[in-house]
Amino acid sequence: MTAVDPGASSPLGEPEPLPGASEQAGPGLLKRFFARPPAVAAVVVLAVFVVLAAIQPFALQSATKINARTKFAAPSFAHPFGTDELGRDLLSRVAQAGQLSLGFAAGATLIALVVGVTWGLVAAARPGWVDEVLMRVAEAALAIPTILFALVFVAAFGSDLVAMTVVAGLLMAPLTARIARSAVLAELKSDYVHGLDAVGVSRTRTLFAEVLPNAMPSLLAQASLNVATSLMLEATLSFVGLGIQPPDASWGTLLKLGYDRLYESLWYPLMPALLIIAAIAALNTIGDQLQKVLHRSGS
Amino acid sequence: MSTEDKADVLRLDDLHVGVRTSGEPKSLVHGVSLTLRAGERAALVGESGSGKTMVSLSVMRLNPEPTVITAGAVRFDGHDLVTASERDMERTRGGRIAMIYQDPLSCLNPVRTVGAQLVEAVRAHQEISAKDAGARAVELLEEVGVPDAAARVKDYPHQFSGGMRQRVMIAMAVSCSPDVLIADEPTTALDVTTQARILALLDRLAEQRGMAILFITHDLAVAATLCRHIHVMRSGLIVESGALGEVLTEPKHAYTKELLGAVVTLDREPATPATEAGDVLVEADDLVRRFGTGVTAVNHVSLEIKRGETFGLVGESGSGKSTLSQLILGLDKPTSGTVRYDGVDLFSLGKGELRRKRREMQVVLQDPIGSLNRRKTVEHIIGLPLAVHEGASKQARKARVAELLDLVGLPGSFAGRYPRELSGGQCQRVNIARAIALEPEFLVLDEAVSAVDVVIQAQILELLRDLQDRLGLTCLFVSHDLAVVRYMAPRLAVMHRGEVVETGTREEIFENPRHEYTRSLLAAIPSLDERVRG
Repeated sequence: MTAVDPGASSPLGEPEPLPGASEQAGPGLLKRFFARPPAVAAVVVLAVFVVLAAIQPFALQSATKINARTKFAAPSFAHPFGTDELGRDLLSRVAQAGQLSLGFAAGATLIALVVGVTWGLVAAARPGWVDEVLMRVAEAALAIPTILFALVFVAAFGSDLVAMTVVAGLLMAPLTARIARSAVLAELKSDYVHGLDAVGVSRTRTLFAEVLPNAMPSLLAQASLNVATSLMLEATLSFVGLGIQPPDASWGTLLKLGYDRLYESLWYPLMPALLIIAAIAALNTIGDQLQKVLHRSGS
Repeated sequence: MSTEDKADVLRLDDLHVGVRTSGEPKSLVHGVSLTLRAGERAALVGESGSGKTMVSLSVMRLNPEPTVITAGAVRFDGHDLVTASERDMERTRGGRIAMIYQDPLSCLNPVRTVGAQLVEAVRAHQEISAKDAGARAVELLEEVGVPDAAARVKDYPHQFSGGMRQRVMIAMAVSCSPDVLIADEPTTALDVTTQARILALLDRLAEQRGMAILFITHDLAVAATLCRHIHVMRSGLIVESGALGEVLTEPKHAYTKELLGAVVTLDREPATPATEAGDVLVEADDLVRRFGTGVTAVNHVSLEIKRGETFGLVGESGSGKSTLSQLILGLDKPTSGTVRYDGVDLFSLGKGELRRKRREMQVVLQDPIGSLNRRKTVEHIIGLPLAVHEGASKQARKARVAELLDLVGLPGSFAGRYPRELSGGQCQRVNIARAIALEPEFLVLDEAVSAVDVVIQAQILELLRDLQDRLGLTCLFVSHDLAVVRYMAPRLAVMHRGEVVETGTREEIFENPRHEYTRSLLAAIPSLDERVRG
């Protein structure tokens, strides 16, 4: 977009669109997202955690190597995050726990996204009783407190990681479905969908090839919040001893272990706690910033 | 008129408006100067994006973020409003200079009665008791021609029609007897008959109160109806100013000439079709469309469209013309009645069959930008019908899209662009390219030129005529604009409240209208020529 420039265009030319007249969810979305400093910071924080978890087996010290002489050590050059009650390197342990925590969150989010989007899409595409039934079921499901249901599930079936991931995903699906439905409905009401009907494009093709990509940004915003929710859920369950069980460790497990040794080492619980806080803050920021770019007002 | 000897009431001196951005500042209005004498009515005419609204908002110092007045002065009553204090501005706005806008509904508070809002406006600038203000509100509504004013002050904005809402806005604007009324496209959203009444009202009020009007509009004919003085604006500059008659009869600037040439008036030589109309292609029989809300949008309508002809459908908003065109395309199902396309009853077809039939019948909708998927490239958009109906390969689509872009007068480089990178007129060309991609036989143009500026409208109309001649299209041309329909369609139907009140040839309808509604419609159209002659 350029400023209106007198004499630059021929008398026949049309004035260019005014600045700020651009569409909300246009193709420049990613560019506008990364033009926001908080968004960049959040993505960087999250990327560091993911990289740390990914390189742990190759690049960091062993997470299981015991050293009785250096237990409860404060952060040092050799152990940047300090050590635990058995002298294991906390940075490595935290990074390893990140594999579980982030993996759980990613898996649950993916399940929520696939199930929720399908759920919402069908509801939006089939107004009438199908929509009614699907949405009332979603509302009923939303009424179940997530933590309570997870506790009951773990108590009944044990803390199997895969099963827990699926349950967490399914618990988050109804909210995703509602958001998917409203995003798709908004798109379906727009003129371009009407234009596609007139062209003779089938509903299925319209939904998947044209509408869904347009609804994706708001779904991604929700997905980033879902990741945060599932991180929190896992940490909570593990902290009360119902989640990941030792010798496996997640951030929540480490926090619990560290919390029990609070008087021996402040660093032990502090490091996993900081990571959980930072990750959730980063994810919320990403969701927030995505929303702002989507529904930007003015700036 | 006796305004010549009167003093200047408002003077803009070299006004500059720019956008404050993080990057380099952008200029939107670069040096606009104009004067408005007491009681004078001047029009600021320009197309969208010309900066005319920016000028009007700058007078009130109501520039929307991030625009700012960067230089120049707005002299009102001896003071410069650009440097005036915010307190002074508050007194001036509404009290001495009032403003009305295009969309009255968004300017009225939906949860308060219009009476309460009028009282508020009156008391904002006058020391007057609530009771007296209430009485004044009724008087004002009576003055602007709201029937049964004493009862209607208790109504809410949504209970008024568009024209009545604009009257309420006008009542509010004149409540403190301002010296200047700035009217920013106040009739653009209204039907032509309502527009005529609002213009007459403004004329009367200005005359009675000696109020000066700065009338902002894109429509030269509307400007000519109300104003004696015209400023033509383009790209942030006034390119020509002068008395109405002068500007209209002897335009000096090339742009003014172009603008005047582009206006489709009722006396414009209509298009002569290259092809003779053949047998009946589309036949609508006794169509009724009733909505769940009890509204009957289309009421027992029958019409025939012949192969190769352009058939016009004209009516005001809410007359049911869009619903009718949807029914004719089989995009909506009628409550009763049939549509035969080339002898086939559209509503007897299965979903898939109807979809396949779509390749023969296409539509161009009103909103040029909104009817394109914002996240797809022009190539994808134009190529989609080819992919859907012909299963064309990517390569084949690419080649065909290039041809089509050329056909609608767009450069081939546009294939990779997104809709928001194009102007409204360019988007409408993309819509047309998509509609003719499959070489349909029947094309519905549903207000296809209503949302674009007049110069672009003229270009699109030429493009449509050209395509029609080249491709032998049968067209249904739907519009609220009688002059445009007359220009395009040798045969037309007039719709009013869901019914076709009159069908006939161009000559029959425009020279000898039989139905009273058609006559009132024709009488309401503002014309450029009467004013120049008078």
